[in-house]
Amino acid sequence: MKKGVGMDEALRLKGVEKTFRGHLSIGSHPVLRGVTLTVPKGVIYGFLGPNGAGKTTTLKVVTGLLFHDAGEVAVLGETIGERSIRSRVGFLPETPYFYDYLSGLELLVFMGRLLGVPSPKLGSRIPVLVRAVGLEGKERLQLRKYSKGMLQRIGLAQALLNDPDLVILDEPMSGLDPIGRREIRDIILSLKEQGKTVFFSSHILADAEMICDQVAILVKGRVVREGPLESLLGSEVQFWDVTLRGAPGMAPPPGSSVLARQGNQLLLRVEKEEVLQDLLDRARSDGASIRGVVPHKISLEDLFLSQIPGEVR
Amino acid sequence: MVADRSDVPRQIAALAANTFKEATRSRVFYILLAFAVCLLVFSSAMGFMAIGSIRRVVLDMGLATVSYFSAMTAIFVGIGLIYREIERKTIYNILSKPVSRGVFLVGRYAGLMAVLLVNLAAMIAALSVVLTFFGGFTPRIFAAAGYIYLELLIITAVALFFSSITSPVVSALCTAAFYLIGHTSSALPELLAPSLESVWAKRLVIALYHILPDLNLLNINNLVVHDIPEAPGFTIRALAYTVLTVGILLVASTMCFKRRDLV
Amino acid sequence: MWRTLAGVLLLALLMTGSVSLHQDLVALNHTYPTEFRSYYIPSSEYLKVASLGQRNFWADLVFIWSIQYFDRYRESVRDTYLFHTYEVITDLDPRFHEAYVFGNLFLSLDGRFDLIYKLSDKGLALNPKNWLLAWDAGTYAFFQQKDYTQALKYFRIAAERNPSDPRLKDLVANAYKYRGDYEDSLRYWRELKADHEKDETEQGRFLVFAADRNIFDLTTKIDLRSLKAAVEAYRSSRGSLPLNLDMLVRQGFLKTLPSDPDGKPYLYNRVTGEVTSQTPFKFRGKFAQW
Repeated sequence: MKKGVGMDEALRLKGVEKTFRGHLSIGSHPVLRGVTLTVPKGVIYGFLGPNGAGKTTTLKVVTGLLFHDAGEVAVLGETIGERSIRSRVGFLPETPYFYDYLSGLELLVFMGRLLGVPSPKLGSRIPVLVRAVGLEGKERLQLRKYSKGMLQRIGLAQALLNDPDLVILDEPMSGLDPIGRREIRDIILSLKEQGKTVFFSSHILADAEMICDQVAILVKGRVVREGPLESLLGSEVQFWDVTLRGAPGMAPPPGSSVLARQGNQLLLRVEKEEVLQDLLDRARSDGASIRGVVPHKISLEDLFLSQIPGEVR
Repeated sequence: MVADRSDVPRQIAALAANTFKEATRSRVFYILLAFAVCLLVFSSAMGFMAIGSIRRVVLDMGLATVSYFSAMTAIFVGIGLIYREIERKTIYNILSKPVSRGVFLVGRYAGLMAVLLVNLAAMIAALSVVLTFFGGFTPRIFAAAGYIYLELLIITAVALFFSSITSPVVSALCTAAFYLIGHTSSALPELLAPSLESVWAKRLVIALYHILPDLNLLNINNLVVHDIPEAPGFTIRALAYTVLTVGILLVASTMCFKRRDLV
Repeated sequence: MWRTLAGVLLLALLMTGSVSLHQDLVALNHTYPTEFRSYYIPSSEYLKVASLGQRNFWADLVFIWSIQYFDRYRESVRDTYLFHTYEVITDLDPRFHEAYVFGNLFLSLDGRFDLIYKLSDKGLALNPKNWLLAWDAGTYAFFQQKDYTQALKYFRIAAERNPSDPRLKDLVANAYKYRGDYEDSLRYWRELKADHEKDETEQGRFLVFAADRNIFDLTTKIDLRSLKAAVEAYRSSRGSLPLNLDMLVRQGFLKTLPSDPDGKPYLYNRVTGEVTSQTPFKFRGKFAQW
């Protein structure tokens, strides 16, 4: 049991590899080819990647469901393998599969007992959690009557039963409607406020962009970009889209390009700030009115797509 | 909140309770039980065909039905014990908690044994009613039930072992094969060994017989029918043997399951 | 609609064909010879293993089967198969009392007393406390086969295993009597009488009554037998019949001259040499045929 190293890290993976051994005619299939990432304590960390990149596999290695072939995994400062680590971690698997003959309440009691939460604490925590995930009044229903969104929420509730320091969520917003997604986002943010670390995987980039402090992008079993969102995306504006009206024949200054012309409206794209100033001056002098100036920074989607080889942009 | 060793009994109890709920909330369980009880009652009708031995026939057929049916239930439910959890991916919720794999296996096993106990009790209750009707109730059928339960403990442990390493179909075949071997192994010393020439071959066959469990040894139905008490020291030895065998099987299951990837 | 009808008709035709072919296959019957196929019960060694531990269950099944079907065996082989069947049943459950009893019953119908004794010996050896079976076998020997030596063997076993039932001793005494062992018989009845002198039950009083009659007859018979033997001895040594019974005593062929149990002297016919009793036997007619 290694302690001391990385005490301020909630999760650390270094060179983690996993190959699935093949049966008979199907050959072996490497899924993780050296995953390296570090999740500091107290952040919301987004684990992104296309389908099949190995996100779920990585999460299963971290939670002890799979055994990695090489590399190091340290959870909350301790090397993986100690059963006790799992009592400080909360895990929501992808598309939670639960026992449909149990009621929500029975499920939470069961999970709580497995976590070793003492009964009185369980008794006080469960109603709080049920309310927090928005399932108040529905906890006595059988799980087979729950909708997808409700299952996701009860799954989140059971992940938080033991008041974990690290919360790991696999695609927590999949299958939810916009209201549901908003609620999950809010819950994740409130977890951060409580001082917890949230590590979640997703392929809905918009949500990730909204709440993550740091991200890692996994492609074909390797982390290709990692770090705080701000530094990855930069604060630089990439270009402006300018909409002008009233000067259809205006010649675009050098450094800008016309994107569209409709009636007497003109849509131009400008990359440098000086060119923008120049264009705005010309527009005024030509008597055109400025309908819109929209700055574009690199979006997460752009960054994401740029990491995937062969993607058409 | 850190889960430690002292939570293990509570974890096992929680897993067992869940397994119990799973079985008793499934329709299949009740259908099997109802069928067994019907068979029990109808088989006692055979008793009328045996002049002067109605009570004996009812008892023999009753105990045989109870024995066969509870073994069938043990096998059918036991083979899916671990496999179903993996198949349905509900196992992810459990093993991502601080629950060791051995505890998980023991918990599922304990749950099924609780189900089988209820099953057995119901069938013996039905048999008691039928027996009283035919004027032959003896409290020794509870002793017979006890030994049937010991056999069930072993069979279920075997089913659990196979369930943790392979699919239900293969598990069912292997466990059924074990059941057959367990009940026919007496053929080794009685039929095979005498027909062999070499002394070493004979010894080998006898040794094989002792390694394989002879489940017939746990059957005291004849003693119950004729109201003869068991030999002194039998009960304690039968109990010890069962505990030992189940222990071996559970340890083997845990060893096989511990390093398994749960894809 | 016509299509469905045609389809159903076709199906019916095909089924008829397959059913009749099936019947032909059964009739061909080349797998096992018929004679043994229908009524064969495998040896108990294999049945023990095949029963998967539920030996009692299968013993009961074969027993029920045997009661239903025993008369379906052909006459010539019936007793062999019957015996084998009950051997199998009692191998599966050696304590199955009714099996021995019914086995004996069915075997007696064919007069196979030797098989009855074989079956009963097995049952008695495996069940040391069972006296009913001994009694059962004894009754076949005594009343049907009239082999009093066998009867005696079984009644003695019964009496030893169940000393508290005096009727068994009565049977032993009768077996001795019919076998001609008058002295043993007499001893038994004397014991019986002494044991039940004070017995006020109906059974007790009947036993004493029967004992008295037997003691009377046996004493007479024993006396007559020794008298006849003495007469014969006299005749073969002297060449002629003695004049009277006293001569036998005087000349040393008899120690003393007995009188019958009523105290009356025995009658002697000097012409024929016959000795008879003037008091009539208690048992008359066919009951005196011993």
